[in-house]
Amino acid sequence: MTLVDYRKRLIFIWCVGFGIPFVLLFTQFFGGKYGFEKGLEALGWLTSLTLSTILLMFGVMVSNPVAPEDPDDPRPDAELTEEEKKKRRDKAAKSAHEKSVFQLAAGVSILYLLIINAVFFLEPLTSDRPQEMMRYYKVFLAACDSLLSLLLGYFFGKK
Amino acid sequence: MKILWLSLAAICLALLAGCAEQAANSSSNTNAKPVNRNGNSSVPTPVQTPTTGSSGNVQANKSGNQPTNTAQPTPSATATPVAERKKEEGLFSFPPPKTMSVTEISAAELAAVTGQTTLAQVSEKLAGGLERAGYGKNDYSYFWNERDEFAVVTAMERVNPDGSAFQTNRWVEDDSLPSAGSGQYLSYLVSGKKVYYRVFAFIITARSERTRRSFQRGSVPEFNTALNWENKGDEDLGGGGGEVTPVESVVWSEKHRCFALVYLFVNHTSLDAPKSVDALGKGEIRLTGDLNKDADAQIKSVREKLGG
Repeated sequence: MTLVDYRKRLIFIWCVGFGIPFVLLFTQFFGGKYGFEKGLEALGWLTSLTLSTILLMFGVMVSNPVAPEDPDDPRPDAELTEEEKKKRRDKAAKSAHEKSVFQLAAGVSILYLLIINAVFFLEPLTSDRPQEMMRYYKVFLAACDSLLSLLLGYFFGKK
Repeated sequence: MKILWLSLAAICLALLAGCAEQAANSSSNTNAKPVNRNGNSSVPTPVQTPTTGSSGNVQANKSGNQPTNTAQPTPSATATPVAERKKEEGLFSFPPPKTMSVTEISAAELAAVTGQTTLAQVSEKLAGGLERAGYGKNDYSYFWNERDEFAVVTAMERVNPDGSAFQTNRWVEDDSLPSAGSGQYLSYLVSGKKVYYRVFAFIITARSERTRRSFQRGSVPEFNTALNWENKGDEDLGGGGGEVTPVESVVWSEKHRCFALVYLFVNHTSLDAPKSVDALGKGEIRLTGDLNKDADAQIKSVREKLGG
C-alpha cells in the first residue's frame, strides 16, 4: 500500500468515527435531549475533539499530494545489480515500517473514536448527565491526543 | 469533500434551529412576573391575621434541633417575614410555597370529622389514609403554623406521568437521573432521561385567606428544599413528648378546611437540576407534555383511602 492509501484509510476511519456521533447528536438535538445550550456544548465537545483533525487531514490531502511512487521492478533479484537490490530491500523495509506505523495510528484512532462514541452510547445506561461524562472522558482523550498527533503527523506531515 | 460540505451545512442548520429556540425562550422570559427584593412575585401575599389566644408557632424537627419560635402574632404582623425565615431554614412555610396543583378535600372525605373532632384526631385520620396508600410512618411529617393551621407533608417520591408511584426506586435521596432499563435505551438515547417527582402537602386550616387561588401565588419551592421537608418536619403533630400542645387540642370547626397541594418536579438531561413544573420556561414546558398536573388525578390513590 502507498502513503496515499494509508491517508485515505485514516480519513475514512475518522469520518466514520465522527459521523456516527454527529448524526446521533443531530437526532438528539431534534429529539429534545439537550435543549439549546447543552446541545451546543455537546456539539462543541465533539467537534473540538474530532473536526480539527479531520479538516487537517483533508487539507493536507488537497494541498500536499504525494507523488506517485515508482512501480515495482518485476525482474527477479538475480537479474538486479547490487544497487538495485539494496533499493528494493530499503523499499520493502520502508513499506513494512509504514505498515506498522499505520496499524498503530489506526488502532489509536479507533480507540480514541470509540471513547468518543462511548460517551454518547453508554450515557443512557448510567445515572450520569452527558456533560459529566464528557468532562470525565476528556481526561482519557487528552492522553490519546498527543500520541495521535505524533502518529497522524507521520502520514500527513510527509512530503 | 462532499462529506465535509455536508457536515458544515448540518452544523449551520443546527445553529439556526438553536437560535430560533433561544429567541423563543428569551421572549417568554420577558413575560415573567416582576419579582420583589425577596424574590417573591409582586402579587400581594395574603395578610396573616392573628388568632385569639394563639400561643405562637413553635416548630421542632426530626433531626432533634431546638424548637424555633418562628412568630409572635401581633395585629400588624404579616406572613411574609415568617414565611421567608422558614424558607431559609428549609421548613415548610406558611403560607405554603406556590403550586398550581391544588384541590380541596371535604370534611366528609376526611371521614367522621365532626364538631367534636380535634385536629390531633384529624391528623391521625390523614396519617391513616397515607399509610393505607403506601406511605410508611417515616414517609411523611408535620409542620404547623399557629393553633389553627398545620400541614402533613409527604416525602419526595418518583412518579409516573399519570400520577402512579414507582414500584421500585420510589423514594428520592438526591437529584441523580435514572439509568436505562430494558426497553428504555432508545428513548433515553434520543430524548434524554426524564423523571417526575411529587410531594403532597395536606393543609388543615381555619384561615379565611387560604383559598385555592392563594396557594397559586408566591414563589415555587426549590427541589432540594422540598426534598428535605420530610426530614425537617416533626413525626407527630405538636412535636410529641406526651403533652397535648395547643394545635392538637383545637376542635374542628366549620371554618376548617383541608387542601391538598401537589408539588411536582421534573428532572431531565437538558436541565442542570430538577425544577418545579410551575417554574419551567417556555422552552422547557415541553418536558411536562405527558404529565397529568391535575391535583385530583395525582391524589386519586390517597384520596380514596382518607375516609377508610
